[in-house]
Amino acid sequence: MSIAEKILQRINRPDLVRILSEELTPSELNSLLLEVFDRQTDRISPAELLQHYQKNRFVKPADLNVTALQELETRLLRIFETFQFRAVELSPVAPLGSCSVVATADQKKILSALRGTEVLADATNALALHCSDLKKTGQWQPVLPTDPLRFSTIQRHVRTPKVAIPGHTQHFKIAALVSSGRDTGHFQFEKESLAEHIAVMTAVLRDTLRVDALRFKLIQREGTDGGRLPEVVKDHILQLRKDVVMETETSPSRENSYYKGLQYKVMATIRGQEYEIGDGGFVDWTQQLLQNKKERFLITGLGVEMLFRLLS
Amino acid sequence: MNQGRVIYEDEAEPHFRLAYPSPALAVFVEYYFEVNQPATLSNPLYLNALPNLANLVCISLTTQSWLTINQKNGTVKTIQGSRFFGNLTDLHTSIYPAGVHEFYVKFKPGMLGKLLRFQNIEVENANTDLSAFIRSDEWEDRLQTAASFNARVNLVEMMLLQRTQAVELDYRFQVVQRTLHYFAKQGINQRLNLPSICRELGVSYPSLHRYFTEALGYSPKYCQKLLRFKHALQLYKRHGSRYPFEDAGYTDFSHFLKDTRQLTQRLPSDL
Repeated sequence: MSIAEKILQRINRPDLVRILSEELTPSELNSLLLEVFDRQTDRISPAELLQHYQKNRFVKPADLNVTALQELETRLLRIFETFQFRAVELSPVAPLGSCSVVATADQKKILSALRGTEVLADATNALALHCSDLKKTGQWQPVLPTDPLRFSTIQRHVRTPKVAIPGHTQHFKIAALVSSGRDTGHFQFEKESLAEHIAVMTAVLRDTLRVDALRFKLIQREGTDGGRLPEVVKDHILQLRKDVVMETETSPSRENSYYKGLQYKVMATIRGQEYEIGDGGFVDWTQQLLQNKKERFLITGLGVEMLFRLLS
Repeated sequence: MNQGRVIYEDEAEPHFRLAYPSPALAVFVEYYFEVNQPATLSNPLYLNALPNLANLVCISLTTQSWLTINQKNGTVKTIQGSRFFGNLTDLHTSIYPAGVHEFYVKFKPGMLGKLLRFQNIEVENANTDLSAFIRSDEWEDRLQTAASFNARVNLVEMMLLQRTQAVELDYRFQVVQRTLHYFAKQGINQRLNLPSICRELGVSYPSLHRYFTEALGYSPKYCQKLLRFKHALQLYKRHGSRYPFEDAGYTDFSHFLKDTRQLTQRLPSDL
């Protein structure tokens, strides 16, 4: 029996969740919940508020040097913009279901909020919505059919699962890069966009932050390409650049249906220890959002806060 | 590993053009050059700028931005538009994700300071908007519309000639320039060490040291070290580590290696 079922049984309202989620419109539910929270906060005293603050694992500030972190962020954003990934300052909230509707993400791992929103848990999902909106409304018109949309951001993310690793926190900063384009055949978008993301990661980690070593791991994921994508992309990138260290993993040890065709990992060695500092790959979110199978979307996430802590 | 490369004056580059100044400007200008090299976001162009004594005026011929990274302290700058570059004490790597098309005037050490009235040491590692020094919009308009590299050289020569006529170079500054000329020849005639150069010029080393500090902000030994290193690195790139580095003014290859590490924090093969 789930926690919710136990509560419903205790208050003797077994239909309550079904009524709230199925019989009410989102707007009605929002009004109802606003009233509930209003009444609840009316009962909270300032002393209790402080107690809540002390107990709640989501609300404490990050324990780091803010100005130094912001300096790092500014350096990274400058590099992203020079590589034509336009920087975006996202809203701290996204539409409810931003991650779980299009990706294999559990809504329970996301801080759902009122007014049809959730606290941002993955900036790449918010950027997928931004790209799709620009395309759908015609605000973005490519000059050539192969022109991609490129965006970048650095955003604090909140995720609800309790962290088990020392030093990890419930909220953390991630830098995100996305490229949104169309399939023009021969994996053209996949080859070019991944080469661009890897060029940015190389400029950031190897050339600017000067990590001890940098390598990229391309992992084969289920997709419509018959498993060829990692090798095709790897051959293309290594033909362009001899200075990139890259390997492919065709039989990964763990299943992952989040990425389609290809996932890639950014492995950086810092002070003799190798860390998985970035992760990315191709996803079908814009295909789902725009209802168009030709849409292609590449995402990259870089653990900026983790990087900052490792380099400090 | 691709960590950028140094372009030398005599490199036969399809994307690199170079021209020497007319005799009237030869005192002020080392040379003019233009880099016009395409690149893509997925395969950006990496170029290295060695520590040097020269001041450069860079006229951007495109609107593309690029990155420059100080390899000693990691400072990253995003650059766009025409620039003024001061003399460098550290290795700088430039990354051009969308190619580069820029026209440069490389001035002889200390000469741009004479023209624009600043002390050389004040612009150490400077990388600033050119408009802080000159009417760069006027330069940009004229050079961007010029049809070719040669046309740009002619235009810049005309603009510079007007400015250089009013500049007077005193005896001390001339001694510094003559010493630098000897340093540049050190690979050809290695007997020209500092005591012999002082004898040739009829100055004591303390006087020469004072003249250098006044004109450039550095000691003669440091300046000699920079010029010797640039020349030796070129020889290394042509001939490898087997080249007799004694001919370039070093004790041996290890001496050259030590200087490379000290000046650039890198191995010569990474430059």
